[in-house]
Amino acid sequence: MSPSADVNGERAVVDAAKTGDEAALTELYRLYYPRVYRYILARMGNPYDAEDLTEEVFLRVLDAIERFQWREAPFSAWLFRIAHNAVISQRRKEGARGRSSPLLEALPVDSQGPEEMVENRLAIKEIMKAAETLPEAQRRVIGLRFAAGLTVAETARAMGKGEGNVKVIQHKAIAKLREIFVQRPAVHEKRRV
Amino acid sequence: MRRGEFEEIFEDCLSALLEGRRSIEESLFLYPAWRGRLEPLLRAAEEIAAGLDEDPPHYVKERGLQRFLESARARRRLRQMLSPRAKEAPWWRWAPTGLAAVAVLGALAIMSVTILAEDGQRLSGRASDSVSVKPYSATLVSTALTTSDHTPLERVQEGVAVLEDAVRQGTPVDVVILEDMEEASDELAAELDGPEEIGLIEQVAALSAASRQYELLQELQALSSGVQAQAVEASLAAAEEVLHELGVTPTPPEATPSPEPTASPSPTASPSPEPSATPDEGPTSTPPPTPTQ
Repeated sequence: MSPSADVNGERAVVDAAKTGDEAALTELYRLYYPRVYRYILARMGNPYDAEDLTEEVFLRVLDAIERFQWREAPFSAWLFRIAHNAVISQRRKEGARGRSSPLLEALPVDSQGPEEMVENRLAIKEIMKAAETLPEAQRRVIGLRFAAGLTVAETARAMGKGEGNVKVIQHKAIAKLREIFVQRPAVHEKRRV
Repeated sequence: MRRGEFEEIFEDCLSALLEGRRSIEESLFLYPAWRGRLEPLLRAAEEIAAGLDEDPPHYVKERGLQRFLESARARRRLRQMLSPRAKEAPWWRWAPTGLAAVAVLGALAIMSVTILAEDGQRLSGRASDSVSVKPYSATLVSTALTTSDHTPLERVQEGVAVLEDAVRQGTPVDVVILEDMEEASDELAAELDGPEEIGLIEQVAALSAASRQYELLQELQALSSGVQAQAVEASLAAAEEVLHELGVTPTPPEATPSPEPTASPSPTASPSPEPSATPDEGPTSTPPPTPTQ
């Protein structure tokens, strides 16, 4: 299910993309755009920021892909380090401007019906609010594992940590989020119906 | 229970859940001893995964793809245009710069002797020249150009601004300015030829400045004579060198009878490898420097 499961296929695509092959670049974009978008949305909480930053991440990828080395990290880990740096950089800019990121005022509607959309908004809002109380490492693990869909191994490489460490961080993060969800039974139960 | 055992089991169940390999119930059946701890965490994980499973709008994704590919094409074009031919740098590529430097030193020596011998009277007294050369005096502009904390590119850019003014107003250009531009261009060419990677933005800025410098000096060349003409020529050669380092072949103005051709042969004068759709077209205006593919 994970797009990175086919490592050899991805390697060929990445190598072709390094030479500027448009088909390969398109394939990488289609493979990773939704995951990068979800990761940034989970970290920023604002779909407009997520759209802009995701585009920026892919432009940064264009600048840097020639220097990408397989021996250092899998492509996904490398890509999500770029995404993480973009998030941090954006947060710093917003901090300097004194702007606080509005939480999901306008999520894309696309294929959702109005009721489903409202439910989803509530759920993401709840998750985002709850995630704000977590330490940075736990928030990052949640973003990489759940939004970006990375495996534990990929998450560990993207964060520069050991896999065992990531498993512990993820356990703590989910336990903490669950505690918060349980304190807000209305929303939690509504989602589960 | 060994240390970290629960985290291992939880990760096994979590990845199976996220990848759709096993349901929560199947995992709980697989690890009955851990059911009490696993179930609430897996339910919470399921909630989180569902909440964060938000796809970007289709049009945003497609618009982004178009921009991404366009940006990739633009980068490729720019790289091709600025492909550093200088990286192959044969020693003889320095020959024009060396010759230009020798010419400038010679011109400087002659000028110094003239000024010392006649106290500048001979130069300042040339009222008949269409563009007169003033004896050197320290001016704000010349000090700005020679300020040591300016990079070569900045000095070339400042010089271009001075040239723009002079050409627009038809006023003479101080020989010192021309010499400084030449020196700055030489340094810029050396930087471009050097081992350090020059950023694309700097390369584009250098290309822009050197192209404009080349055009303006060509205009000025037609109006100059004597010492100034020599300084213009030397500065022109230095600008040409910068353009060569950037992989661009400068094109001199359209064939006008000139006793002293200073630039490389025009590509328009040589047979084109590509068939032209309008072979009998009349004379066209001077093309800008042409990228070498």
